Amino acid sequence: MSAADILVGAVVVTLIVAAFLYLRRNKKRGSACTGCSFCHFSENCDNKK
Amino acid sequence: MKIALAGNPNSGKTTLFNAITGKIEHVGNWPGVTVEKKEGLVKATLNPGSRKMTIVDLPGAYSMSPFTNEESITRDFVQKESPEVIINIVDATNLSRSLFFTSQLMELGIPVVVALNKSDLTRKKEILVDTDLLSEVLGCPVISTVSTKSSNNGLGPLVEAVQEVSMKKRNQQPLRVKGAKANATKEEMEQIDRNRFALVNDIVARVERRKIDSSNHTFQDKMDKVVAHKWLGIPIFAAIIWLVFSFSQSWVGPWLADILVGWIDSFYGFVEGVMGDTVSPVLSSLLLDGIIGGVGAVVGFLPLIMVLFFMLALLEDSGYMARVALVMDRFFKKIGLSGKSIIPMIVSTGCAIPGIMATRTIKNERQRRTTAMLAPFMPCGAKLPIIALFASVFFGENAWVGTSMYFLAIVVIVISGLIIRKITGDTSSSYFIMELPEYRFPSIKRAIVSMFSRAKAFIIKAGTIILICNAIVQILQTFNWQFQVVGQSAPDTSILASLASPLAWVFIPLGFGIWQFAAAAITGFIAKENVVGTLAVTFAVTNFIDIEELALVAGSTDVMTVFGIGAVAGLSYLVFNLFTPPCFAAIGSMNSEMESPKWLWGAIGFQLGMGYVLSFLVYQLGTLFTTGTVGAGFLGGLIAVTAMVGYVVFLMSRNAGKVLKPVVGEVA
Repeated sequence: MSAADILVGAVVVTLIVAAFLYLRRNKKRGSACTGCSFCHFSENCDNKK
Repeated sequence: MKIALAGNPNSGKTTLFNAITGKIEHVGNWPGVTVEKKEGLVKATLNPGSRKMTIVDLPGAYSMSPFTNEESITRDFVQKESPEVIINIVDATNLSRSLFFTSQLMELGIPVVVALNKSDLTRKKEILVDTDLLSEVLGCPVISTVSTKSSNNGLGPLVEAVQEVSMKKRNQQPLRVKGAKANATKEEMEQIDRNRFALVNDIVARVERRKIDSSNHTFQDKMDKVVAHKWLGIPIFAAIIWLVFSFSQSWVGPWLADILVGWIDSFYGFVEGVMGDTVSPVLSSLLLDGIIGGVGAVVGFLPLIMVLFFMLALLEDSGYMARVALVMDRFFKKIGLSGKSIIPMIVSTGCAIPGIMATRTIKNERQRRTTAMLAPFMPCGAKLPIIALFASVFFGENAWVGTSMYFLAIVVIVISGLIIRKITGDTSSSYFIMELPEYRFPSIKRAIVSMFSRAKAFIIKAGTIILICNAIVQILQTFNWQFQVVGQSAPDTSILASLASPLAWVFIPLGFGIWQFAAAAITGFIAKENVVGTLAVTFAVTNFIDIEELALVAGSTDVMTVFGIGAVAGLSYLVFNLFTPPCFAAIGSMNSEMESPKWLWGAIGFQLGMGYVLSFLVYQLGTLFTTGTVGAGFLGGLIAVTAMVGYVVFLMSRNAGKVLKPVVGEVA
């Protein structure tokens, strides 16, 4: 495995982990969706009740 | 300090809320846009003091009686959470209707400040309102506001008036309504309401002067006679939607999309160049084809979606969508749905989740659950890339494909409504009273804000869910079960192919019995945009938009050849994706609103069946008309479809001959 492989692998993992963390943060806020700003319920989203 | 923002529907509460707080909550020129309370802090420019002022935007209400669910939210909030001050938004052009609610608010013992909103329209309509006299008669401050303006909008004086009344801590005297008392009987209540109306009419007669007789037919009335006509309204709606689709998907959208795809392609080439041959092909393919290619294929459709939502926002702001609701109400009434069911359907054209949530304004349980089941049939924003892709690949970007999908959705909703009505045996019907908002020149600023909000949501989704799914799809199609890299010559041995292939058999009667299509349909349940992303990854197409031709896959032979299916099968696949269950997040929403596992699973089964049957009909009939013979897998498909339809007929026949239930009324 070359250094370039490790670098590209790290980029891919970072992108996927960042996406997961963003979704997890949104879920913690009570939104099962991606928190669309145009959604009428974005303020008090009770999608997970 | 907590301040409640209360008023009649479509009096401009959310617009005023946005102007006071600097937020960008969704507004619409029609009643019923807000169905949940929203909170925000008053902007520092309007509230320079140290004391924080929290504004709560409440759903519109005509009275304090709990006639609808959203009126209950308003009533409960005002009564239980006791805000320090209530800002009562009063539509200055419709005083007689608005002051009924004002008089009730004043009886709560909480200081009220009246915001006489839409004051700019009073000048246009030549209505003179004596605000000083109104303030004197009501016994509370009355401030003229124009919440749509960015300056000289009266918001500064409004906030000052709120601070002033909160400091005085002095109860305002309620209006003296003859016979008003707590714990009145129903008959007494009706009499009190009549007295209240008489009092309001008396106040209006004193403070308002109209130069134009409101009983005369205005230009708006004449326009409504055509636009909201029970028959003419339908072709007009079709023509407008066709124009919107032509503009977004044939004229302006592809031109902008081409520029964006050019940038994505350059970025792809740049990353490819940086990596060179030094990186392992598996990793290189995961980053380039799975992540950049897959996400890029979806993002490439962003300009089309932005243009479409910009135009839909203009339509909504102009007041036209409320007329669409009126035209459609006739059909919905006949299938036993609430007139209010139209609002969730229209909201679902943006996203099914708020659409499903908007069903909570429907009181009747069966009507609410049925609406939550049917609203996802409307093509949402996430389905637009699929429509755009298949319309362009197979039908030369024709705008009629997108337009016809909306109308097919309406037809499917009407038929489904009838079926569910028969299955449940609940034949209750309802009438619908909705106040038609004034036509107005739509605000370009609001349309741009709405467009960018949706674009932001689309990009976030592409960068999160779509990215993860495409990476997983790429990994699953790179390796076999022994975790060895699958050669390009044998992609059918990959994990993804082996998982999707059994399902592909089920799709043979629908014309797309290919594992790549099966895999895309499955990932579509996570997010509908995934269909496009997965097709891009599995067919190794880096983008679906042809830069050379400056049009969406113009000519499109290449992509069509890669897909390996014809136009009829393409249409069948499009129909399947549009009319099968929505994404998981929307299903979660259905679960919340239906509050019944039986209804939820019934809905998912019904949606799956509807998608399958429609897709089967499109493919087999289409093939029969175009080639003179039925398509592959006809017999197997016919057996499956007959079983599904037979089961539904059986369920319907169980409740045949049930007694009609009483009529229920709904007001929006």
